Amino acid sequence: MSWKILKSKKKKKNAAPKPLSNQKQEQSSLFTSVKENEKEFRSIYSDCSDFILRPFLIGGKYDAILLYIEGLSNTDEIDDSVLSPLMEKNENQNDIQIGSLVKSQVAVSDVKELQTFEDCIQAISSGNPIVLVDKYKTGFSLGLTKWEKRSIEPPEAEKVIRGPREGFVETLAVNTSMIRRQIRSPKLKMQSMEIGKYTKTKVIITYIDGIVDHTLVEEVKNRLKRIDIDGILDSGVIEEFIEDHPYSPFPQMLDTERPDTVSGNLLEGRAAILVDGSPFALIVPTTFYSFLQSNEDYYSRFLIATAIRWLRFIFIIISLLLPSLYVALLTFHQEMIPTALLISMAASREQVPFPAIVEVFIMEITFEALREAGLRLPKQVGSAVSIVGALVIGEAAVSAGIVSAPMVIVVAITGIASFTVPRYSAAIAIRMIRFPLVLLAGTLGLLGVMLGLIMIIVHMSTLRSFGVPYLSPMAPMKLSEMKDTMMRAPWWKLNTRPHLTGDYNKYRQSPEQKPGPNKGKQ
Amino acid sequence: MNPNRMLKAGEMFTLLFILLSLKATDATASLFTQKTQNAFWYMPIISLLVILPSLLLLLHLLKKYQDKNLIELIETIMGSLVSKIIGLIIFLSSFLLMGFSYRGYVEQINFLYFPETPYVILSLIFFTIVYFAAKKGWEVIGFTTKIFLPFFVLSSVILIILILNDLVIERVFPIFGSGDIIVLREGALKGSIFIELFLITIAYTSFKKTDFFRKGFVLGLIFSIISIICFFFIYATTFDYNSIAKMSYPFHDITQYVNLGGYLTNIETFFMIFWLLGSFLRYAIYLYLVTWIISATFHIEHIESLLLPVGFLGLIIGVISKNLIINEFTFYNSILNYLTFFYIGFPILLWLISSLKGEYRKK
Repeated sequence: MSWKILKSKKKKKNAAPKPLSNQKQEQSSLFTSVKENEKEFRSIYSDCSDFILRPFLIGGKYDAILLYIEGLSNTDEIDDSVLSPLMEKNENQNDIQIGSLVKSQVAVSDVKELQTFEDCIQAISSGNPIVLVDKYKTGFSLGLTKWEKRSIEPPEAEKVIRGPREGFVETLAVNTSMIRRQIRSPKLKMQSMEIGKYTKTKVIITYIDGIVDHTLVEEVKNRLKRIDIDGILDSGVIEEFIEDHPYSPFPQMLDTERPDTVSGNLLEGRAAILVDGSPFALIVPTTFYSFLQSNEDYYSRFLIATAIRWLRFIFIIISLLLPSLYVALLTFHQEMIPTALLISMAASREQVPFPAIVEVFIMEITFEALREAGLRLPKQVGSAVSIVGALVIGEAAVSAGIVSAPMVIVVAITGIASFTVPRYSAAIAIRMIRFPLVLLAGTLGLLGVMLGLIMIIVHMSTLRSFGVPYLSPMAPMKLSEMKDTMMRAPWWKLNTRPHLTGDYNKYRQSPEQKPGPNKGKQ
Repeated sequence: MNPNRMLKAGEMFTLLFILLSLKATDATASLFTQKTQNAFWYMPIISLLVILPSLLLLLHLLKKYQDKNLIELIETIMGSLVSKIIGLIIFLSSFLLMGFSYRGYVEQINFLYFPETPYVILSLIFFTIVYFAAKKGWEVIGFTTKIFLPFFVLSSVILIILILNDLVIERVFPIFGSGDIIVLREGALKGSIFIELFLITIAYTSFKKTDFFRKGFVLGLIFSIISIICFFFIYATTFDYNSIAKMSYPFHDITQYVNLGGYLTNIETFFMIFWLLGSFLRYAIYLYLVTWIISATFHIEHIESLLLPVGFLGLIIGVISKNLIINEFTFYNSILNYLTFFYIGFPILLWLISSLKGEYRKK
């Protein structure tokens, strides 16, 4: 019995601190006197050198202060639209309501009235200057944000030959505007919420009302509301908090930098999550086949797109299985290799002191290290080093007799194959799974490879992304959706949306739109 | 009607197909040829005809009492005590058969591809993957089988195309092999090779609609029979009547026999890959069904927790026999012979009691 008590004592010691949201936040309202407000704000923002507090007189009579953070607010507009009109002396003015006075004089489109200190702090932190007037309990938040942001550039990780070349930036307003420009209907809804105790990051859930299933949106909102953290810096943090299967190597949400990907998925009935400060949007729910599709498939003609998809399927299998098959065949099942090829491989492996599995591990780990190092090299040095790496390491290793020449070819083909997968998160998952498969192949031969393969497929069959089985539409089989998975049917045949969860809006275009020279005028 | 279930007729078809048609690839063929020599290729039809009336009766009963699987049906018709006895007999019989045929499969891998490995290690590895796949649940097994089936069928088709050249149709004669009475008797006694058809009715309620179960069942049965007959015919016409009785693993012999042109002469490992995948899945399904039966008999809700004991004990049963000959031709053979009577008998008993009780009218 005593070990049970010990265990429970240990558990209490290591107990996690209470969640942050339990700590009550008081909402304290603003003071009527502007001097007291000024004192309070100076103490809240003490040691913040970028916090500007500017006292002035409205119409020469009423005391007021302007509060903003330098760098987040548009100081030119503040001078022109706020300070100049308010400071103008007006003799005919009586003591009318300050509120209507401020609102009528200030030439700003977005003016909100705030009652509490917390709201004011939130507004100032978002870049909205605050005007507080003496003997008036309400503060005015003015929508005059302006800060330096990156210009819209083509996304680095998702390049296409044909298709739009805009990518998201870190500012949420720019990202939502890019999606709005593509989907101009008021049915495109954007619900916002704030996550993060210190960062108070704005997160927007966007979907198209009438196409999406509302239970999906509710589930996304519930999961986001559950997040209790100090701060969110990128959508990847949110992804880990809301996914269904945290321990799986496979990604369960599509992350993309392109607005046309987001729009395309919204039109199919999915929802997207945009995070302020991150150029990556998250799309839910996804299946495994979404990671093998690229935007270009939809913009090219269907025969080309189908051929390239098949190429991708073949190469994804190669990237997963080629090193392990090489090891299994050479170590256990030499009889399967044709005799002439076997003799030449045996000749090239004669000098190599290591067994096949050790060779594979050496080469694969070197390749992964080169790839990872290549991410951080500056552009000028990068290309030189990669060529050097390929030539020197490959060539020199072979002549030194550490690895054999067929091994270098296998690793090179595997590396190229893994880069044909359009989404980085899926490609890296498959690369990582390759290593245990090589280990299994080296110990158990083809039996081990099949073992590993079955384990992978069984694991993928258990995954669900927000209720949608991961391997749908293959299993469970939905024949009508196969036309966009195994191949890419022509656009005039893609009449139905994929069925994700619950009820859905089936038809997205009218049937029988096949083009032809005799169609003529309708 | 279970709207939360995701399995459809396609998954039922693949499950039944993998369960049954892999019988063409193990030592069942050599079991048949012991007495009947080259007439064994149409014996599955005789066995099916013997067992078909009882099977159809069972399906008819399942349709009448909707939303009940096999054990629940027996319980409703026969009452608690008798249903437990029958359930226990079904479980024990299928459990023993699973154990003995497990030995056959692992022995094949051991003998042909990994001769240096001890049997126990190989069977433990096999068991690990079977247990892992079965533990994830019935739906996952259905999905995984769905994904792998096309590859298995494709490899079988390639094999058949490659061996067509070496068939000698005249080897089918004499049509009645070692004698018509012997063939009929053996075929009738071996009716219980289709025991999986009875076992899979425990999954009657786990599909989206029970229609899907029936559709998949019928299609699966037809295609499995066609595939088994096809393979047996190929064995009969490739290996003549005397040598076929000496052959333990006809499927693997065929894969060693074929070649792909003059360059790729040894392609048996290629077919072994798909056969291995099929046998992993077959045992995952079989283990899940056997565990389901015992859980349903004793009203145990969580099936996955019983998988490990049942599976491991099945593995131990495989270790009993000293060699494959005793395993297949003594134990497996006699169990199959005795079980045929039970499996012909119990649906007839169920139907009699059910019609006597007058429960034909739906409540």
